[in-house]
Amino acid sequence: MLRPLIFLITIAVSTIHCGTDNKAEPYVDLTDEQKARKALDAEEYEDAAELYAQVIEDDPERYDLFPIYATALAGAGGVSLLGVVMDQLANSASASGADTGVLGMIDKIVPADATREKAEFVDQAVEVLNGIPAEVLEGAAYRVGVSLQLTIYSSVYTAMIMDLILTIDAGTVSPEALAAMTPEDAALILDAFLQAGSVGDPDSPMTQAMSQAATQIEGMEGETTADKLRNYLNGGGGSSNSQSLHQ
Amino acid sequence: MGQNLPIPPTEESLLQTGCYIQFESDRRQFGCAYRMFATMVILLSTLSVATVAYARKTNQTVVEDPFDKAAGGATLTRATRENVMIANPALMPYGGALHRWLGTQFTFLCNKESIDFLRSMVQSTQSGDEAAAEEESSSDDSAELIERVFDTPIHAGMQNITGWTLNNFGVEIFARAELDIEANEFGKYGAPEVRFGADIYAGGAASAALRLIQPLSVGVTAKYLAVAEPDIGVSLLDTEEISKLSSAEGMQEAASYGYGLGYDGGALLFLQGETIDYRLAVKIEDFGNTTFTGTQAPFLQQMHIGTGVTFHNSVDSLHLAVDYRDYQAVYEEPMFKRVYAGARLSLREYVGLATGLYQGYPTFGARLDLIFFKLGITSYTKELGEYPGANPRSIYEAYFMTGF
Repeated sequence: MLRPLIFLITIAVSTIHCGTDNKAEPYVDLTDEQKARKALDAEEYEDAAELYAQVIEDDPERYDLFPIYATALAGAGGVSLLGVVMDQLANSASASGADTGVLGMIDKIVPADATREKAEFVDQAVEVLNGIPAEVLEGAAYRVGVSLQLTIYSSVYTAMIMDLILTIDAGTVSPEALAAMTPEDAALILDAFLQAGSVGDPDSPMTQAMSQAATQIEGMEGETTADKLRNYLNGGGGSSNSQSLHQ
Repeated sequence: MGQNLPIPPTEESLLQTGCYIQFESDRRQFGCAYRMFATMVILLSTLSVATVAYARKTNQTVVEDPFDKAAGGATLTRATRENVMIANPALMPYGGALHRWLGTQFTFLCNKESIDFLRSMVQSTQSGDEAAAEEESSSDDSAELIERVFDTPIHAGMQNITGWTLNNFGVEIFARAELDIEANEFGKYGAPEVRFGADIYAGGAASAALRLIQPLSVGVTAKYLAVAEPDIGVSLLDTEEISKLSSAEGMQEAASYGYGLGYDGGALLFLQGETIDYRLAVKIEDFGNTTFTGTQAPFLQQMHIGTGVTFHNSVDSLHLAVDYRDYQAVYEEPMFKRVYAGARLSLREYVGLATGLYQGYPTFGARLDLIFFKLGITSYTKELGEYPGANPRSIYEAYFMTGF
């Protein structure tokens, strides 16, 4: 019986020597969707986004993939839904903008090392979620999640754009950056506010803060959007307007 | 395969399909047996499967013996006697004596990550006292705890098999409950998700088997099952779903039992030699689909094929086996989740050692047989995801049994 025992031990040792990884991995061809999922789990967001885009391009009716595709895009933009959710749980009032104002909120939700390129990814995430037809979303299992994703991504995008253009630090706008703001930048900021105030969960304090800010900016005195925004940020439009941003 | 075959199949048609198994050296001696066997394979494989709704249980049996898992889960051609009825009833007549087993087996299992998690919790509790003295911030602790929860799937369960198995007949009752809780940063729809899954099976089975001719046996099992397979994923962004599941009715709806009666059938071609045996087996599981009351998805009819070779003397044996389960892929699972292979060594009938590949992952196990009391351990990995490495659980099982 020695030979079978040696044989079994040889098999066991060989198997152990190979480690605990799945031995079938080299022989399995993953689908693009599986590759995308694998990339997302590995936090390789741009790769995941590209792969999800490919899957959706091949099958445009895969609306169930839109939310996870948006997650990959937002991840490429430095936005972690888990981080936002945990931040909300830890300090929901201050993170919502309800009592700190939008500028105060920006410091909390703008991802580290934000760039224009990253902001573009987040904006794309909003665009993707907005691409789900209303009639599909109405009965979908992911309806509530998508609504909150939209709220979060559009708000973060707005915060990123504000931060990148106006160099906000501890809730204060840089006067130099405000003076140097171009009409295009001002339009970009206003559009971001308008978008963040109109998509997602209308009952969310974040959405309401964005919507209120957009309305107030549009109601300010000034010939151009940039003037209105400057007046608004300088508190020229009245204390109640500026407070919503500056508190 | 075999959908357009004449019924009964002719030898020519069987050869064309490649399903006509030929053992050239034994052709004369066992010609009758393998023709019958191949005919059964073809006939059974042409049975249709009506539904496409999937249960959590796929190609594995509702209960599995831990030592069988240690041997890679390849049980069609050889299984431990405690679970031979469920593994393949056609194995029963090859047990030697009339009485094969009367007893009960208890198994406890959990995953490696659960143990690591508990260990780290204990360590952090101990270090927490020191940390308190150093006035560490509680928010850091909370963040670390959340991060750890998201990195640590919890998997635990237990199983009992109690039965009496004879050479041609057996009865068995069994219960198995496995829970799996995991949190994913990226759930099904991209948002953070907590997923709760459970496999709960209980029931009874009765089997009958006989040798049609010397090298060929057939067996059938009738089983009555109570099944609950809740699989609940809750997005942390989905407040509606969280509220729904928070209610007693919502949870009850998600975890209700279904009851059903099912049937398995198997055949074993056993070519026995003085020192080497060859085995070829086929099993139809959940014949005609096993349907359940309530919302429980049916268990689909599957066909499994297995082969094995045993090197032995009068008291020791080494069995090598490969099972190809659900070869028609009715559950649409990838190949790596349907192939089970392994080796088991029995020494003087007191010691069992096993190793194998279970869904592509290595398995190991040892078992000690002390006549009326037996115990063992098994280590294996189960893949819960759709591709290798997607969502594995490294599971340890410890078991003991008493009986004779």
